[in-house]
Amino acid sequence: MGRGSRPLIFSREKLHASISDLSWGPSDPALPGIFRLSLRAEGDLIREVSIETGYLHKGLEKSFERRNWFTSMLIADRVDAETAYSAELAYSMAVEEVCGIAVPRRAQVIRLILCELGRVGSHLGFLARLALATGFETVSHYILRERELVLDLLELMTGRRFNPNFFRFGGVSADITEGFIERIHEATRLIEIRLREYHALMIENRAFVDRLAWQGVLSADAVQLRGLTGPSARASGVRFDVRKAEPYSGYDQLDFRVPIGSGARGTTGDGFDRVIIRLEEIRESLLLLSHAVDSVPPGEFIGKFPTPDFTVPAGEAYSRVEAPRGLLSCHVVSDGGFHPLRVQWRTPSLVNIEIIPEVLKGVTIQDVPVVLATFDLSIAEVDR
Amino acid sequence: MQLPLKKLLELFGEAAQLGEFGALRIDLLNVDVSRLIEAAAWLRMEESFRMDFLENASVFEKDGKLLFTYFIRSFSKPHRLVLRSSVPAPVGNEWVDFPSLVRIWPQAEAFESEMEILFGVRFADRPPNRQHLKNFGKFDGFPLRKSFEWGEGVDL
Repeated sequence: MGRGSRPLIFSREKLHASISDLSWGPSDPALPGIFRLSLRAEGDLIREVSIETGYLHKGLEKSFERRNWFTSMLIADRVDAETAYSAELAYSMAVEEVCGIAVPRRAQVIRLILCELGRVGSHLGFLARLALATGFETVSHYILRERELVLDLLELMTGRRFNPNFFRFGGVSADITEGFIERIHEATRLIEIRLREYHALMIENRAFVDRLAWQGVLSADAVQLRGLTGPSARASGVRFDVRKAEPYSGYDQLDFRVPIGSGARGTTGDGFDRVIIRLEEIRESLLLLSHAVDSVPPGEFIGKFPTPDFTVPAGEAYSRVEAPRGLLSCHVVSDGGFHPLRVQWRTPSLVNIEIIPEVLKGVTIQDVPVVLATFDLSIAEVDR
Repeated sequence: MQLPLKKLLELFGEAAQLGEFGALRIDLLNVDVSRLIEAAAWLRMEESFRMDFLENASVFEKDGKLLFTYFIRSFSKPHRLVLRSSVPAPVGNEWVDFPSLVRIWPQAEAFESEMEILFGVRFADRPPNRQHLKNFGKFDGFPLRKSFEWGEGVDL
């Protein structure tokens, strides 16, 4: 871990540097959210790390128990703004399993389209944040321009840019908006062109590569031991993607690739691989979107609209989806009443953040924000 | 029974019972709390299972019990299983003692640390985690218990 096998050049000052303790955060723009990093450094090399989260804990799981089933979908959005569609899908799938509700094929494809748009938006957000962390501010603005395009599409379809509250038990709340499919085609073509520009600006830029290659190396064994999932795990060569392992919502009807890290510039599982993987995943999502919008079947977008007195029979279910940051799962328990008895969430960042103290050892202080950015952690997911 | 769990059921006798979880009828293994670690270690190490991925761990309170549910699977084999154990639900703000599974599945760390604060579960033999601390808000008691009252001054 740390810097992998890349040779370190120590200056005399570093070799004889004193030990210093640093407290970083909880509120600092260089960190990916509100949490505290406590570092022990020898010179500028980090030797020990501890993290402290919980500063913005939302008490989300308790909030579900205080809502009725009908309005609880609102809370699912709050798992994380960029993961809202995946969270709504996971929650819907679990409730539908307990109730035995069948989802029309058209609604499944609409859900899939929204989740993939959400993934593109989330990964573009990741690239923009990473560009800022590495000092590529202009590139960050370019990327945010394309992310706006994705948010516009989501708004066109759901009426909201964030917190959509769009899925319903048994389908979605509205059919495809007029002009949406044409605009998806335009957007996917445009973003594909822009990706080539980002490639030239970032991936082919030595200054960018030098900040990321060999940084924060994470082995496949460490990924499996700690249970990391999502692009950060796939960058280390672990080919696990719920969309392939246990397809849902029609993913088995579409052809797509699951890219894994190969040490494109440094070594497998370094910061650079985590960027490359997300770029490739955007391309795959664009292809998925193009195919999905062309194959939306005719029919209903919802079986039967749930009413405010909607109840779920006693029982439980566990659903899992591939959210932009990794495995998102939801355990729903009902006692037959108007409120959920328990809704528990396993979010990708909740587990992925556990590796941070180990992966930062051996990293220099100046590289901490960059290495953290490559993991695309969401503190909202941790403090859910 | 979708998984070859016969050997485990023979080994554990009445301490382990097989059921089904959810409409998908996933194998659900109910294990007595006194033998939970033993059963978890067997599932983790047994060559034909290699349940090395603790995907999720959840706890909920129902019918006077705290039910601990572990969603486990194998990285190398197409196996998945739900492992469950329970203890009587505590009265008031008493702590509940329960075995820790961190030494068997390090992935349990993220879930157990939350259960400790939000459900008031004291995990026995859990290695102290000095690398990840939780600084939750101000509240008396354990917010995810059914007896918790969400009143004025709760900052969660």
